Amino acid sequence: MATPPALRLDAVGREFGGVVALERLDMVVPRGSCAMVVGRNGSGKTTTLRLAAGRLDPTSGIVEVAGRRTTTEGGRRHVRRSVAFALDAPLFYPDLTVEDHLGFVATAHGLGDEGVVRTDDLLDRFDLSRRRGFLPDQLSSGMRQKLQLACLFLRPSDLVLLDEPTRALDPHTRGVLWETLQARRDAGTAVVFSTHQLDFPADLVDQVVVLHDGVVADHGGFAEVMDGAAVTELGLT
Amino acid sequence: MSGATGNDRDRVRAVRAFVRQRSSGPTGRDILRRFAYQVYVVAVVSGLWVAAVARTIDGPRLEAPPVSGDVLADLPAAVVALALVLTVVGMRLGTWTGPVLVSRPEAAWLLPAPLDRRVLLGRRLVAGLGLFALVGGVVGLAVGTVVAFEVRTGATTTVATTTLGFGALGMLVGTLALAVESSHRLARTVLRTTPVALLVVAALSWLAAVRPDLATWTTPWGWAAAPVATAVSVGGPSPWLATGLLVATATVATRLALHRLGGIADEELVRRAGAASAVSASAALFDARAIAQLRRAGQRWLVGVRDVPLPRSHRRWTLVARRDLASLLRRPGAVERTVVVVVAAAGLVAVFGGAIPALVVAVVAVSGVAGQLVEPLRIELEEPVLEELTPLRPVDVTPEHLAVPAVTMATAGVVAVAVGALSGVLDGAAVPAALLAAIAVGVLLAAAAGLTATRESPPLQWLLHAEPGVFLLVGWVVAGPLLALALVLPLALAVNTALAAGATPLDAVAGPALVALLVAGGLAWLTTWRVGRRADD
Repeated sequence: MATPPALRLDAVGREFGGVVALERLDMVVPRGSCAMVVGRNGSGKTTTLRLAAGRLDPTSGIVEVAGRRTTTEGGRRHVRRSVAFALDAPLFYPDLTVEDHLGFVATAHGLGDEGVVRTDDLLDRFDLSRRRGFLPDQLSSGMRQKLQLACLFLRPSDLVLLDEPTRALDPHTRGVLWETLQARRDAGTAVVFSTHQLDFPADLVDQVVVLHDGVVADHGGFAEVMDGAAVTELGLT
Repeated sequence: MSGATGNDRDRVRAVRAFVRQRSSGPTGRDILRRFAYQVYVVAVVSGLWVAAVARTIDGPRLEAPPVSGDVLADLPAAVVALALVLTVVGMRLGTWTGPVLVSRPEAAWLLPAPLDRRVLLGRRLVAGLGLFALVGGVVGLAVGTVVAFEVRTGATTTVATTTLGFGALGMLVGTLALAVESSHRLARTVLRTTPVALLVVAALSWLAAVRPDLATWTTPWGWAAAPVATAVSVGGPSPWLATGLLVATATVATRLALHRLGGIADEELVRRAGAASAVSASAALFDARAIAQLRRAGQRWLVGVRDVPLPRSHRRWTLVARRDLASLLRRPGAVERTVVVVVAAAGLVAVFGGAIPALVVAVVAVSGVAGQLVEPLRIELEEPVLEELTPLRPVDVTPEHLAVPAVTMATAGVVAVAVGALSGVLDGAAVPAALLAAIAVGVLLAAAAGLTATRESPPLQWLLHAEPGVFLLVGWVVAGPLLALALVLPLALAVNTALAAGATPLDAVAGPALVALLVAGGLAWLTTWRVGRRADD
């Protein structure tokens, strides 16, 4: 039996109180590949990622993570274990420090001593070492985003979802993010992210979905979509 | 306000007039009318109060409760301690609010404008100091009334001078709070030295009790207590002289404070405007927890986060306990406050021999600190952080969130028993029973606090519908203490009944303690069930 893709969206639609946020989206993200979702504000990018992360249930269609529907109890349990999701607005415990958060994630995922090593590495990589004793409300928005990314990359996951991950990040940290994503993808993790910043390495992204008002405007390989008419017409390049 | 020219005043007036004209809020006349009404209400209530006190004191029907001469002689030193505690509290208040408060729109629009700071903020300072004086005056009125009831001679002088003296003291404390508001260094020092200052006050009170010849009320910091000393005939400066000196000092301090107004940093005023706005919103909802969070945020801003040298947790079963312990130890004064309240509550119950009113006060106070210990559980239920970061759900970790509060409460209970035994309040033979009771009640109250924490926040609609809304809100606030009372009082009655029937202390406590622990287990199960149901909803 063939291994199911890390993520499959089959004719997925979602409405909010009669407003259609997403309509008949088809998307397959194999393991070890990277997909990018682009579009103007309000085009349905965040809804797509939330559906993929099981945070929203589709009003039509099917969402599967590693072959399991995200709407079933077993599927939800699997999503909690294997999907790492970076929100557009990071959430933290107000009473735990930067280091506490990483220690918490490492222990909750059973990383043991490996967690200590990886925590120190991620604190260095995301420039958080000197702020390990800070509480979240003492961090700038960029540093909060770095903390969210460090927590995300610390936990083991088969599918990484990132909503606007470059928001508030400086160019150096954006470089670190792309490098880390590339390494995770090469190690077999599937990656899906949305962004407006197109300064990532050309070989990182395998497929691009262009959304406009909740409808797929274009979908294909990176070079093919970037050369296509949709991204230009929508002013995304 | 010397230094400000007429031109400066005119510009500030012009800006104020413009804001008033464009504002959709109450006009100047409305504000004046409202202020006059408030003054009228305060005057009528105060007049009625003073008349009632004077009539009751002079009346032949009511006999004052018998109080020994020793207690009366200790009163001046106790009032000095009260004045010092009020000073510490006032200065502490200066670290996050303070006497000069502006609104958030004013902080955003008026402060950056090129307007004379002393003219702009002068009225605010006078209003703030007036509030400090009012609070001081109310405390003085209460002190004077109590003393007048006991002593019965010179009641008018006693009530008038304590009210005036404490009012001046309040104003003086307000100027100290302004100094704190104006200086980061002083604010940090006040935050760090408050526990030491309170210990010094306690030591001074103890010293004054064992060495009556010290007469602490004869020193400048004891002037507010001079009327009490005269009333109970222990000597000291004349009440009118001491009060006059206090009023003169407060007046000079106020003049100096008006000169210092230009020294307050904008960032401080902006921070305090945000804090004051959030505090009023929280106070309207009786949300003491939100106010405590704001206070802690203000402290963090000044002195940073307390370092907690806890080892990293490597095992799943220690994950939540480590997280909660770190949170508890990082909150300044949380452990100390818990221990002090539990020891004081246990002392109250011991001194009054387990009398029901003392028990009620003790249980309500202890349930309050228990409620603060379950803060991590509340956070867990408010924000889905756990599910974002880990494969766990809040319902998976709910019982674990009760572990640290239960252990902390039980430990505080053990400390209370140790203090009781060492001070001789507790008979040696009763110590094992007291230990068992303290541990069982501590665990029970922690579990009750956990169950209370699973409630949703009160909806804002309750505020909009004045009639049932306020009652619902008050009900929401008192539900925690009521639950604690409903759980503890029957057990206490059972212990009292067994003791009255001749049972040994340990025998009398064993059964109710076992019941308390079983009920605590049941409450933990109920808490977990409610968290699960909240997630399903």
